[in-house]
Amino acid sequence: MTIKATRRARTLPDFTTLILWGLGGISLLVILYRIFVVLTTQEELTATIWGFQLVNGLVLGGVYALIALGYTLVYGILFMINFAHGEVMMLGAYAGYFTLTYLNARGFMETNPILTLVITFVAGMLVSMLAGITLERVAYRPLRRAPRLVPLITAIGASIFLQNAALRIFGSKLRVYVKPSVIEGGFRLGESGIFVPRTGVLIFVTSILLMIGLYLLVQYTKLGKAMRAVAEDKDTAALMGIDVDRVIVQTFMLGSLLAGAAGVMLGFHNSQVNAFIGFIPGIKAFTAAVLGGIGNIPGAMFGGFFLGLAESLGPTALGIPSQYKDVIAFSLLVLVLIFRPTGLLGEVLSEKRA
Amino acid sequence: MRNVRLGIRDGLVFGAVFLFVVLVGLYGAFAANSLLGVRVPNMIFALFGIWVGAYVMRSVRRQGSQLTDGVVAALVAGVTMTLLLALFTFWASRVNLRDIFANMTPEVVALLTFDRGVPTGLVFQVVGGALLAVAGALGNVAWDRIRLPEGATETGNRLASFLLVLYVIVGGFTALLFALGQWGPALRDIAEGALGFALPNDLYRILRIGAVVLIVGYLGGIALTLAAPAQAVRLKERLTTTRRLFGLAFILLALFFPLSLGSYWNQVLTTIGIFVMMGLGLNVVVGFAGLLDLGYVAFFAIGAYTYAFLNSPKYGLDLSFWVSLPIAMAVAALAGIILGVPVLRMRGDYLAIVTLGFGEIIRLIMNNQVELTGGAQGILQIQPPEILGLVINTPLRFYYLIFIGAVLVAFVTARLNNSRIGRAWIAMREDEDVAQAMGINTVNYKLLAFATGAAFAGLAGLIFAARQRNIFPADFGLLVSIEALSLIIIGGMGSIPGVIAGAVALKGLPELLRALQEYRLLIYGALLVVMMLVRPEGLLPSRRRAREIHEAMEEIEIDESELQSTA
Repeated sequence: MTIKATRRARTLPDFTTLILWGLGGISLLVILYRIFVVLTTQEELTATIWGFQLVNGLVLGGVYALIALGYTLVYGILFMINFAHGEVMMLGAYAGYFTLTYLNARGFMETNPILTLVITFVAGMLVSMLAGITLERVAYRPLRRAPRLVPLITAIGASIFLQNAALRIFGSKLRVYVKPSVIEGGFRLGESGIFVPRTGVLIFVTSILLMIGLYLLVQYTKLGKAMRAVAEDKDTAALMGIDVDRVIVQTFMLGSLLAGAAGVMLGFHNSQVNAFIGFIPGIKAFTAAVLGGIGNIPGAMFGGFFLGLAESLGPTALGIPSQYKDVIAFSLLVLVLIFRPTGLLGEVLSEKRA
Repeated sequence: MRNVRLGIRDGLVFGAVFLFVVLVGLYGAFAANSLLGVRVPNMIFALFGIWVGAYVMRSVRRQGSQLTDGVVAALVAGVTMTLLLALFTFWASRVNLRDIFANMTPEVVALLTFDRGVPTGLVFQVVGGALLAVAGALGNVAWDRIRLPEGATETGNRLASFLLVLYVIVGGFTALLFALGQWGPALRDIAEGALGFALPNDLYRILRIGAVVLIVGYLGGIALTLAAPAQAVRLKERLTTTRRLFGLAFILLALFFPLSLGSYWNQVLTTIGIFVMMGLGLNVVVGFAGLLDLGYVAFFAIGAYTYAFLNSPKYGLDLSFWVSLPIAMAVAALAGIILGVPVLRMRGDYLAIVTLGFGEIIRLIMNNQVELTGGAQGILQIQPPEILGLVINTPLRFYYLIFIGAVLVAFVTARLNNSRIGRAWIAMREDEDVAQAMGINTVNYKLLAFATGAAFAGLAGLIFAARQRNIFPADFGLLVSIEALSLIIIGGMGSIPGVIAGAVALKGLPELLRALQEYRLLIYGALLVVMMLVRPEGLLPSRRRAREIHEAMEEIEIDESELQSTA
């Protein structure tokens, strides 16, 4: 190539950056204008509606945050997107459903509603954990040294495989989650009368507790220290006497446990399970993880709640049909990746990894 | 003792896989089919028994243990596997499991117990499993004993090549004969007129059957040779000429074979053709440039909807197919560039997710912009194309249209691959930073790859819309992207014959085995994983790509240790 071409190559990225920032600025203005119009013209948007969407967003955010943590943990260590993470969650949701149905049929649920909830969560988490470990062992471990495209395709394959396996094994009939009496219905909050479903409270509180637990585990236990070390540098960690393979399995275990809990929560939230509930929430949770900065644990929590709120408040604020909530999530992902690839919470990964 | 433990472990793994096959319903799906007088489910059982035995024997022998140890281990594995199965069968016969496992019907339980009821059937299972495993173990030993010596002599090699070439020529010729099925009578008249007397009918039948056998054997032989391990490298080198001949035979087959088929199979062939086009386009993006695009269906949809907008009476533009063709391709290419710009700086996995999101956004827009796209009701009454007064409205005519399109796309991609552009893509795929340092304008080349791939997908979408006459957003789900991706990965990334083989295998085979149709996606998913684990370069890979992947897998270890020492 000639010198001229080389010079063009140097200036062109700047040019595209300029265009991108221009587009970003314009879209931001359009969005703000749209919100302004909706807020000033739509009289029927009362505080009750906003409150309801807010509660909904927080609940959904909790679920997204839990799934996002699984992505972040795995990505932080292996630098791969575990596409099948959503399916791991789906299996947990199924396990929760079967446990719940069984306990209900035995009459155990009526006498011990709280214990039933605990058992359901534990069952979902354990099954997801088993699924996650198996996945790592069978599909990902042999490919640890392969070019990055290879494990990624494997993960996509595993995701399709698990989806369709669940569809064939459990059949396509509707599976409705029964709710123990304690989380049936809801209550109104204060004078404004914002309706808060009890399921929502359960999901929110449980997700917060699990997140605190995870944070403490990663910060203050030996396992957490080992995980952080492996995420920093696998080879040096191995030299320091850390069994890298074991830490990776344990990371998958942790992520899958959280996914299992999220699956049960999603089951309660949507009142039903099927084989395809994992895929889209999985992708969105990944979006959440990227939003907060992938590999960053508080970031994933923040991103989850941010995305949940954006998704439930967004359509109302922009005055568009709620079918477009997926569009909002994906657009957010694209925007963050363009303008702040390290996520909203800042630098965790270097350019090489991102 | 170690062998017994190994037997138990492998038995459990195989048992779990077997149980999976049963639970998924594949076992019961073939209940009505039998092959050579044996019911297919029983054959699956036998296959698993033999397989576990052979597998265990192989691992034991690799450790250098005695044959008797291997037989014992295989026996243990067979018993473990079938015990697991028997336990589950017993459970399923006692409790109604259908609430959980949709496929555990009484019929499947009866199949599992060989129609002999619970206690007897379970004994049959375990004893049968043990015997089959031992048979498999012995078979594994026998297989090695009868194998030809490694490294054939020069004459042998030459003879093999000669036979292959001969086979290709004969195969191509008979394929042609067979394909001429419909024109057979005319040809027959000519032949008999020249000879002056009638030939027996049976001769023609034998010729046709012989042709089928030859074609099948021929394709299988080529596939086996190409898929052969490294020992056969020399043969592979010689295969270049063979490959050319094979390509010629394939084109002849593709040209004439559909004439002898009914409209159903021609419809299947058009679907395969559309996927070949899509696959070739995606191959440019993923295979050549190394950019993993999971939203490829978006461009397919854009091509189809562009034609619908331009042609459907609903919008009053009424442009013909041939006018719409360049427009649709250009719109799709533009969409490719629009998607390409924001994702320029993203690598690998992020790119995959963002493109996936892009595909979903396009589909959601089609689904929800009811005034513009008709929403879920789609766009109706799209006109078929016309050439010189000939309306292309039968599957056979469409087949030829698609054939021409696919050949053109294949030609263009092949030329691109061997050009300066193709080399720039390869450089970019192998190492983006180095490519940039070498003066390759990665921005332009990436956008070019996106635009080219998108234009081909747009072409496929255009033809799809013309064939369907009515299009709906449901036709453009994520599934299409996954199918296109699966076929290029299974066929071999970056390789044009691979894409064609992948499309034929993935879209054609499920049509042949109707029982498998439901399990198509399950099998695609499993194939993606297994291919990546066993043969990441695909079935018919481009040589360069195969080397790249294997080198990367082997060399990273060294690279990192070097880094450690220099750091």
